[in-house]
Amino acid sequence: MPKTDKILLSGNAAVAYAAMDVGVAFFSHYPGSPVTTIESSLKKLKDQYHLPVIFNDALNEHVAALSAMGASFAQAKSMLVMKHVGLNIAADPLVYAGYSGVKGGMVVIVGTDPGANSSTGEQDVHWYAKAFNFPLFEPTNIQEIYEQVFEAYTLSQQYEIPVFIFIPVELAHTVASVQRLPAKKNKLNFRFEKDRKSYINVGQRAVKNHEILLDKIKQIAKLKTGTTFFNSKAKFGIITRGLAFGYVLESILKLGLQEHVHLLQMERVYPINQDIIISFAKNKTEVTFIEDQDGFLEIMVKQLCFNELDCTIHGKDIFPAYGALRLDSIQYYLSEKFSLPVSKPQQWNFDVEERLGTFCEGCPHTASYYAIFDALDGVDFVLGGDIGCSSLPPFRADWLLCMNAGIGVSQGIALVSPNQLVISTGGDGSFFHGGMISLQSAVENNINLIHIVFDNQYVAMTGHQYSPSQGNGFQVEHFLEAIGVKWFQVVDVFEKDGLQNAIKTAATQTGVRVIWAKGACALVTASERGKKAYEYKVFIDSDRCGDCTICYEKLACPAIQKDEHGFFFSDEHLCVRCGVCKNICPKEAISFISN
Amino acid sequence: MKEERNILIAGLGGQGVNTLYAILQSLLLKAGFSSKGAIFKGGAQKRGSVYAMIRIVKDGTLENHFSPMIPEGQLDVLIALEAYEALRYSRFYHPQTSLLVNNHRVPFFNERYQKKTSPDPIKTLQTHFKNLIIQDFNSLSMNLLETRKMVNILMGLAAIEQKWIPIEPTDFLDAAQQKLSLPYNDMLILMKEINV
Repeated sequence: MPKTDKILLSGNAAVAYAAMDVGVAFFSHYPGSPVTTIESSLKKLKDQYHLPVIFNDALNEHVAALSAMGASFAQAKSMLVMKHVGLNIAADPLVYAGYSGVKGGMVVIVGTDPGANSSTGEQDVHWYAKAFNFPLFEPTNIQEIYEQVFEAYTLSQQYEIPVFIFIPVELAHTVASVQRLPAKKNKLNFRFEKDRKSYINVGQRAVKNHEILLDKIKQIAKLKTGTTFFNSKAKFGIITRGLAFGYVLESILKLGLQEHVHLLQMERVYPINQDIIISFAKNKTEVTFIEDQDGFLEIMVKQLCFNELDCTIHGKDIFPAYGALRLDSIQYYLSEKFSLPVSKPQQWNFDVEERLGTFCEGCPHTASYYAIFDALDGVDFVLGGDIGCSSLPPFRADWLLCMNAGIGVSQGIALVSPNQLVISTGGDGSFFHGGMISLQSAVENNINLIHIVFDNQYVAMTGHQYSPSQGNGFQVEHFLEAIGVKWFQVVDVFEKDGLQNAIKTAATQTGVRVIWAKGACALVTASERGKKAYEYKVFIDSDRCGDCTICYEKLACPAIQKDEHGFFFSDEHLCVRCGVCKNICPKEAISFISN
Repeated sequence: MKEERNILIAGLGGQGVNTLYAILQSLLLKAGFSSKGAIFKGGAQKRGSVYAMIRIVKDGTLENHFSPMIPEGQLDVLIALEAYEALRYSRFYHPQTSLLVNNHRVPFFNERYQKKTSPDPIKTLQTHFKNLIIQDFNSLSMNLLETRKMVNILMGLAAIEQKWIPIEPTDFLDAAQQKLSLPYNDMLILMKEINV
């Protein structure tokens, strides 16, 4: 075990260190930004210090949640990690975790993303704390992340209830110095003890367990819920939580408003201690809630303290529910409120396009999308997109929503609009996450669609986590046959015309057709690429080039660029020599030449 | 050093920004500065906009009570590893912001099929800002070290040389060497570049 001294940690690494120091025995997760690296950090610590942590790299959040519950039922201290939208997938089992309770302690770490920095949505998941009746901690800095993991396990074990900790994108990657706590001793032997009263939730037993859960929440609500700062006699109060606390604190100090403001930071955001709120607000004429997203605290307090507060309450009437909360907007608000001079900076408004990302050089998806549009040129078709690398850049498919929205939405369209050719897409990560069930459903309902699985052999977008398509017994042909897919082809996307021909053939068939498009992620074949780059490079012969722009616009490989004279060239430092541009050039102007 | 220094590193894709951010933030904290930082990686594996913020505060009142987020109009130092990205965060700039910009442009993908062209970022910057250093760090990196992967290190070094960041150049190079396992010869070239 390492010494418990001060170290520099990112928010995600702080969770991993806390998990090690608090003695987490079971870790399950589904990768998703911004909390993906918690798992890799803890695995490094496991290797370094031979930690007795058991990992479950689940294929979706539903399984991750259930396995964390199971481990905790068997007395193990379990940790469950996912991103905010993953909580929607895990919601079904987690709602029961409150009813059943847990035994060994269970903490659920959720990465949140106000501002949708690395997500398809900025959904406010605070409401799940109320829906599940899980206590919720919200740290304001890296030290608090570390300490709240300890606090959450103490609470979880004492009340036999899962506990949430939400970590926003701003904190997940922030680096700061952390003072570690003395490590707790690991429990090594576990055993599931039967407790049907808790674990079988049906009929009146479910009602009873609900009552027990609500009683636990009532008891937890009485515990310390927050910390106050500055002048308790001030007529103006601010209640805040999470990252917003740092913004508010800095703004008050910078503007010198310490005498004019009473500040309440809610470290535990749910359940709320009613007495603390009433006591805080009793001498105030006005209380403003400064928090991001929907205004969970404001709404919960208004509900909890209905008819108990005499002061005016502000919150979401001032700070918007969309986007990330900004430090300057809080400073402007407080400056105007206290009639302080406001010096708004000179604003520049430069026209800069949003960079929505693109495929990497040599990415198999570049070749796949080219093949789809090439094969179906002139055909009326819809193209369902999915979450993951295959959705970058997002303008290729016709929608980009949630995991497996490709094959799911496609089924509805195919049923009501039979004259359109419906093609759904999704990565292998999505397929194993839930896409295989969607495919089976399409087969059972004999829906007319072509489903293309982009198999790059990894859950690539979140850091190349393992995908069952790499092997370990999964045989795609056997699987597709077994679930009743009548027409399918497995193709190599780098093979000339392979995917185009498969799509053209599939389009002449009916029912569920599956094309399994294989091509390894370009980022994990670096050593192979290095060898090729040493031997040869791509040459575009400008004399032969017909300026059709297929390689530049339709394939849109980032390595193919235009020089100042308008001639196309392949940037040899970016090009990975995948050869797709060479395959598609109608003038055969692209070739490999020796270095 | 003035009481507060706000630094923003902007780039594409992430590795360059991430490495420079990690080196600078570690050195600042080890040197005893009250410094906070955050990195925003976005959803893209490649060529998405990525930026990192570092705030150094030397103020008895604030002590450690400040957020890692830079308020609008209060940026002191920008290190832009790509030219268009130097324009993206202009809401943070003030007229005296020091801008270190790599004169290397990565075109926008939508220009390939929308036939749209973006305005010249360098001309725009030159029109609006005085405290501006523009250099082709890609070429410099290629010429010195035969790789483009050292652009972030060279730009970090340049910002330190300008005294925009309170770190010793040798400490920075040591940290870079440890982080990136740089060959000894590369270190010698970089040390010569800064006349160490």
